[in-house]
Amino acid sequence: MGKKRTDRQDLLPGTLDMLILKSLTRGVMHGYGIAEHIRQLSDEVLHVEEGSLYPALQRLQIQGWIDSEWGHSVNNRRARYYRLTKAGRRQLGDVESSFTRLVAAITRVMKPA
Amino acid sequence: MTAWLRRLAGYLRRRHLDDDLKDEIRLHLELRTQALVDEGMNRREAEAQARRSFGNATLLAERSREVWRFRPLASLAQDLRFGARMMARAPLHAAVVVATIALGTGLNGAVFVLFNAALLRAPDIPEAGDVVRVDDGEPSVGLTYPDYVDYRDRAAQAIDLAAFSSARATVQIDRAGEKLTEEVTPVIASGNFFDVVKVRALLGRTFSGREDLPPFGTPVVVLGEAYWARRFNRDPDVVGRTIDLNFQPFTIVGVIPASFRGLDVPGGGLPTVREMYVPLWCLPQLRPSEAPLLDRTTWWGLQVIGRLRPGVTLGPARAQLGIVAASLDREYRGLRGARAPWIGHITDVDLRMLTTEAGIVAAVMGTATLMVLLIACANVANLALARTCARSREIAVRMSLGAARWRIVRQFLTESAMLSSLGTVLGFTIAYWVLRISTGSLAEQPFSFSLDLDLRVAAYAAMLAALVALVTGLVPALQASKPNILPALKDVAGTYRLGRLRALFIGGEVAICLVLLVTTALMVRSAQKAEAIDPVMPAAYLLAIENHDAVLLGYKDRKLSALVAEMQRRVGALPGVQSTALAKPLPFSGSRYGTTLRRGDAADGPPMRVLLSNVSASFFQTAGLEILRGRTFGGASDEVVISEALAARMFGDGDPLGQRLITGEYDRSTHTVVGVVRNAPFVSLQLRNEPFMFRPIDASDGAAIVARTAGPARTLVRPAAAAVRAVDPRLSTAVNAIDDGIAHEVSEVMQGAAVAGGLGALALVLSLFGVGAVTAHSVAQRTHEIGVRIALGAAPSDATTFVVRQSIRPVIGGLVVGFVGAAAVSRLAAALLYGLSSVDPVAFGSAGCFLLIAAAASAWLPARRAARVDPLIALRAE
Repeated sequence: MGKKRTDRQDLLPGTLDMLILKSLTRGVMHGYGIAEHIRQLSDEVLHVEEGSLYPALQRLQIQGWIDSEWGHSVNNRRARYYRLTKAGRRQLGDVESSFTRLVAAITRVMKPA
Repeated sequence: MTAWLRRLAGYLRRRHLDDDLKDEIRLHLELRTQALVDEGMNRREAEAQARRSFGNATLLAERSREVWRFRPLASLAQDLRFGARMMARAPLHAAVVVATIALGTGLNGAVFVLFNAALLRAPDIPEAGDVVRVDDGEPSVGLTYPDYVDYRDRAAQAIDLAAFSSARATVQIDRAGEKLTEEVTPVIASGNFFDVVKVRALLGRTFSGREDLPPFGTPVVVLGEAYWARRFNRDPDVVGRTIDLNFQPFTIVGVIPASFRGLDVPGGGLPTVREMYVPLWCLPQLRPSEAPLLDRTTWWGLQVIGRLRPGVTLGPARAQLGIVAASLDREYRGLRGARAPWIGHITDVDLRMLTTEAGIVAAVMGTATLMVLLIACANVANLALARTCARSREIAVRMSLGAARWRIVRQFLTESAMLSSLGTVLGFTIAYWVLRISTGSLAEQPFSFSLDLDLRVAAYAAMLAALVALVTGLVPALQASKPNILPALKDVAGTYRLGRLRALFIGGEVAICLVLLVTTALMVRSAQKAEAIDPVMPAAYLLAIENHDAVLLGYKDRKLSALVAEMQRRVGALPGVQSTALAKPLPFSGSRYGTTLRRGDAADGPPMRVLLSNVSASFFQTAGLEILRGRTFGGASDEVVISEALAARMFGDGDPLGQRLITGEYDRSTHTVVGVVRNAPFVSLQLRNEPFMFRPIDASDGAAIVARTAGPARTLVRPAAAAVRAVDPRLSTAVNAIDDGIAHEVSEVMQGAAVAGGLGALALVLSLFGVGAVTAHSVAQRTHEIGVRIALGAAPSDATTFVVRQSIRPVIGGLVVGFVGAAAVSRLAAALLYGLSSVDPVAFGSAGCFLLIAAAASAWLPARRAARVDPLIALRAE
């Protein structure tokens, strides 16, 4: 457990929103689902303070990039499900491409050919 | 935009959102716990682990909520509520501050409202957007009539040009057998004037056609509605009646509505609604000016406006005027300098107006009132600093609990903004109503502008309020939020040493106050000197008789000089007239003739500008100008008489008699000096010591008659007018007593002194209040220190002296700075005011001493309390 912790990475600032949007491309999810998704896909490297997801979800809703509705979870509890909107898909495209460029640029600098 | 709508929707159902969020977080924790239990963790441990990995739930919930909140708005509301509570807790402080700010902003508001109305506001005429103002590059100088006609005819395709001017006249109205006589200032306008401004007659007609020049019909006049109401009681049968203007009959042909306020460019004072309109062709009857209308080089009296033809914009119109100007320059080469025609929409602010006399008056008034406002601000800031001391504990507590410095500063600024907004609104409201009432009732003649508030006034008020809020709030805010909170928490009295800042404010106040007081003193001194003027010319016994339409009636050359001679003879024969002379221009008529002058033995040297007048040989004796050396004209046309000032400048101590002088640039002529006369206020009091030259008059192009009377000249106005008219009944004549001109000039200076005095008194009261308040506060702050001094054996009177000395120190600093500022101001004033040297010791000394003594007195009153400090109580307070 202790060893695992050292491998964990804090998120680059501003990337949480992108990760949420990306997760939602897979379909409708509730907050816990999004957190799990990010954790599992990143092989548990990305350390998201799970609570910080919720302010981010509110922010994205205000931007109009995601939508939400209430439904029932697997264990039949009231749960809020989030869905990517059209604007959100566009936004994801934008941040994805600029992020890719950024990573590529950093990689080039760090590992010169 | 939609983000804002969503935010608003969220804000409205924020309670709901809270519950939702709680549900979400609870579900999240449950699911995480379940997952951990499934991995084999025991439930209690799993719950703890789930909460750990979630983070601070309360904080995160708070942050989620804040996402939906208008944070700036929410904390602004908080600041406002807190500010209102602070005001309610110290109502006296709030009232004093609001009143002080209202005083300062109200004064500025009054000046700005007038300035805005008189100079900035567009005239209210139909389709004003198409109306333009045209001049030859100098807004305060008009066009000559021939220039106007050339522009009008040659640029007719682009613009329909009209011209107008105004002149004083004496009107006489028969009312129920009684004759009412008063002074009016009719507008003299071209025949197409009302067509161009699109103003229709309320009654009868306006002018017809565009003929501006003789041959005369019967002179006609159109009345303004206000004058019609005032003098004719709105009599509908007024059309067709006759009134006398400058002793000539004019037929009333119509009345125009009061909604037309005229288009005057303000010359000096505030423009007033003109009583009546006279067509340009009646100018000779109305106003025998010193030069005929048709002369291209002398009478620059016409203001020109125009209406752009349909489809024409400013650019092409300007180009057209440029072409006309260029061709006029070619055709009349040498008559005048090159024309630089200017055209602008009448609805736009003509920025050049700011450099005219009206603009300068507005600037001076604006500066003076702004100074008073600054003093008021300094007082308010000082009061705020005092309160900062009182509130230092509150602030220290807030800061130690984690309030950001910016948050504290904002709190202070919010409070000062509240106070300054209240003060500004109050000040502007009062100013507006005072103006309303005073312009409505004091002036018999309504001003030709509306005082209605507009966006510009609102913007100015907002700017002032913001300025006041910053000036009065920022310094105390920064001071209070200084990040050394420990001493304040420990409540060590007097640790806050705001003394230096407050001294700075007091010094500044005193400096500004001194400048205003010196200005007042200078103006009063100037008025005194002007009134007590050495009677070089016995102005009260001089009568001026002007006539210039003789040229238009066909008199010229020898016939004209014969006519003038005959008029002079008849005036001279009147009982009560001692002697007569001819002059052109007339003393105190406001007109200046000038030329360049060189010494005969230095023909290539730099020229000197001199004022001049053409007079007859008997002029010096008639006008009471003592000839100091030499003699008056003997008959030769090349003789000149010069003033002492000119003699001294040209020839120093040398003998000027017999010296040769060259006048003019292109057509030079040589003259011989035959006499030297005393300096006299010939053109105006101000120009009394200007170099002046007299040339023998040639009456063949007209002249005015000056008569010396045995009794007061005013009593001879009517007989003289009758005598002149008897020579040729068609002639119109203006007869005036010369001291009316001087009285007018003196009264202008006195009015200025009264205004400056009022402002100076206000500044004084405010500054003294400031000194007193600071002293009172420092006594309160230093009770302990004073107690120690007294306990150690200082006499109570020593304590008082000590406090007063402390308070006076910044006053003295302020006086020093103020003297420098006042010296700069008086240097400016010396150019504008009569009879002042650039630094007037009496004005400076009296203002400085007065201010110092007054400041000492206002410091002494609260300082007496220092003497009553009981050392025991003071020490026990520790």
